[in-house]
Amino acid sequence: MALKIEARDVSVFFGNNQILHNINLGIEERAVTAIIGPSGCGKTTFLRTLNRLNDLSSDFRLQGDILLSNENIYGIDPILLRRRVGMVFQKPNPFPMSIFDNVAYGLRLQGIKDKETIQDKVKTALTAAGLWQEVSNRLNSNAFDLSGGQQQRLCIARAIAVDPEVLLMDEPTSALDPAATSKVEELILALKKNYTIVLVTHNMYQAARVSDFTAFFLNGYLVEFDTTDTIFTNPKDERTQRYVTGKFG
Amino acid sequence: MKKRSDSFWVLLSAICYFSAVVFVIFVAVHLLRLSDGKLSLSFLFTNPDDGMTKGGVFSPLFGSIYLTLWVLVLSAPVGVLAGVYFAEFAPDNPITRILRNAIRTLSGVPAIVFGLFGLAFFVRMMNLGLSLLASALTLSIMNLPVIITTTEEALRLVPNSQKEAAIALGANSWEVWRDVSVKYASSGILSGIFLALSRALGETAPILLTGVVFYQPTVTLNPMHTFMAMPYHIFILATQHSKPTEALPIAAAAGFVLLILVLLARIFAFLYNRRVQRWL
Amino acid sequence: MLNEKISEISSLLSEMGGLVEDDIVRCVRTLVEKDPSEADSVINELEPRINALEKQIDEECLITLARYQPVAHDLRRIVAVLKIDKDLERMGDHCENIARRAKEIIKEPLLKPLIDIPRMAETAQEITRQALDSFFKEDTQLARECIDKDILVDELQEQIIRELISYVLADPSTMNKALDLIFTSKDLERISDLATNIGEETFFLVEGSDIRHLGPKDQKE
Ligand SMILES: Nc1ncnc2c1ncn2[C@@H]1O[C@H](COP(=O)(O)OP(=O)(O)OP(=O)(O)O)[C@@H](O)[C@H]1O
Ligand SMILES: [Mg+2]
Repeated sequence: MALKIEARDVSVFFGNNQILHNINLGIEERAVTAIIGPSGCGKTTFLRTLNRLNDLSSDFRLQGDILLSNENIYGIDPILLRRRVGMVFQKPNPFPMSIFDNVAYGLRLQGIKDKETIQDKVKTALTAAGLWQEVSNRLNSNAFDLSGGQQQRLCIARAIAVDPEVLLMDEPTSALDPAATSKVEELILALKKNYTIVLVTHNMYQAARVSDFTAFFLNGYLVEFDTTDTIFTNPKDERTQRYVTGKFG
Repeated sequence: MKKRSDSFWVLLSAICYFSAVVFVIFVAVHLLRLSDGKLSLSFLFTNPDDGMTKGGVFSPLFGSIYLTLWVLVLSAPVGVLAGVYFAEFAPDNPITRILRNAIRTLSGVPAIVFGLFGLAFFVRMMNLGLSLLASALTLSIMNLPVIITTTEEALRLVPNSQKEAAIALGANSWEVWRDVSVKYASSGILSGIFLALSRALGETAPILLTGVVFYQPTVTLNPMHTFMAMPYHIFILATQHSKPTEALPIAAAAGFVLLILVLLARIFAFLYNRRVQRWL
Repeated sequence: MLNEKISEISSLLSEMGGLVEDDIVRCVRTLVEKDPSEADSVINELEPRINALEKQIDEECLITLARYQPVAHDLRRIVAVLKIDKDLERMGDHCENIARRAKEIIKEPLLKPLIDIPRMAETAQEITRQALDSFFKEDTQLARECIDKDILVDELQEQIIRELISYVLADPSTMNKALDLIFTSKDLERISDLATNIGEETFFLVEGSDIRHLGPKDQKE
């Protein structure tokens, strides 16, 4: 097992507010690492730091280093970085285009023009996202006509179409019903064979079900990081214990 | 309880909506009646004649449309770009806020003040003389605040989640703008532009002092030339003419043509909107 | 996810069951074939492996409960497995007792030819196998059969004790040897008893009903 992403002493500021405090976290390759913690503890902020999406905020400031395959992410062109580190958002956000064009979007951004290549990759991505069967006969209809769960899987397909190494998922099922949620969870388990997945979730049962490693954040601090088995059966920190037993947060 | 008050509001807004439509129809019908059968295709394509008691509206119609085209060319690009700047790039500081407020105040300034400004600045200082260009520039200045503000508002309404989705896939800022912002904001921006243009089409005061003349039965593409325009033409016919009974039907017919022109611009904007909205 | 975990646990449990069946056969074989190496393999090989498996199964069950919150049938299965592996481990302990004692017994000539003890062992092993089978196949019919077989073991044990007492009455110096055999039979009786518990867990798993501590009359057919 190798580390895909390494956060070394990462602190994040928005203006004068310190949001994350000295986070040290290694994210294992081809595994699911879950980030749990109460609302506002900095989960999303941490995730968005990994693909430099926070750079869009003018008052964002980062201390410490983040390595992707041992390479500092600030040594990588952010455009290229984001192709290697894909993201799926909390609320499904397909583009107002056809289903096909949604998945093809990232490919076209990369300058791929060949129709057949694009068709192949779109099909592969939709299949991997478990959506091909449901949409293969209406690839040209508007993505907004899909159900919420299908839209989210479409967004996952869109993210994996460009073959990223890492998939960041920010509460990908919080807008979905239980049936759609379990489909996405199964998908996550299937995807970890090929991708390194970082999953932010409010639902610690979800973390328990699908992740291999779990990090517990509290007030911008990383309280505990261990295998999911350990976090959910025998956490070391009192606060982790209280959180996973539902006693606060 | 809730349901009943709901249907009350629905009814009220339906009444308002239809009364507006009815009003427009009423005006149109009234103008048609007053025009006394003067309206025909040749009315559009003949020049006013015989002390403006005969003939059509070709020269003022051409003048108005040509003027509007110039306004479009002069104001839309600048206005949209300025709106983009305010929405996407302007730092959030006191200067920006002052600028933004100044622009908003500008859209409340009476049209005649713009006319005076045009006269002083474009006609005199810039030495453009009384000309279509001076008028077009004056109208453009008047329109800019509308276009800037609607552009800015339209861009602000672009969902952040959409922009982030594109960015997260590795789009650069130009690609985000092209694929997301334009898609979401174009209908808003366009309706801003059309709003501004229909205003330009109908305004008299700003052109009155900068280039419009009341009789000039030749048309030219030279923007340095004076021109006739519909609203001014109607104004002259309706209020300044020595033979009101003969001029009135022509004024009404011209009014009707102007109304239809403005409506056409609106319908065009509406259709475009619908085409875009279908995907949203 | 949960299903994979459950089948993983099931295969661990069946491995453990296989070891315990082997255990029963071997510890008695020490007596029958007078072969101390059989006892050694029970004590040094099988027993540690059984203990390790019990720990491993407990841990997996714990993790499964924590991570997947199983409910209904799945929950009953995990709870049943937790009890069964405890039972199996106890059966292993009894086998170890038998093996240790057997190593002493075979140092001297036997009091009498062994007939009933091997039969007891055979029956206990059969009950164990059937009980585990019934659990994995969720077959209450089979579970019922193996629970009923426990009576055979009890009868055999009574018979053994009666016979040995007659030996002791005739010659009190045989007391020690007789007691060793009585304890061995007691161990085998416990083993078969624990095996029937596994059968009872099958009922719990399949029907959700607890048939423990009911007389045969109260149990439904
Ligand atoms: N762009 C920003 N500018 C200023 N403060 C921010 C910004 N983004 C996040 N914060 C602050 O950082 C803190 C952590 O926010 P974050 O969104 O990371 O929390 P979270 O753990 O994801 O919470 P939730 O579970 O509710 O999504 C919050 O207090 C939030 O107000
Ligand atoms: Mg969040």
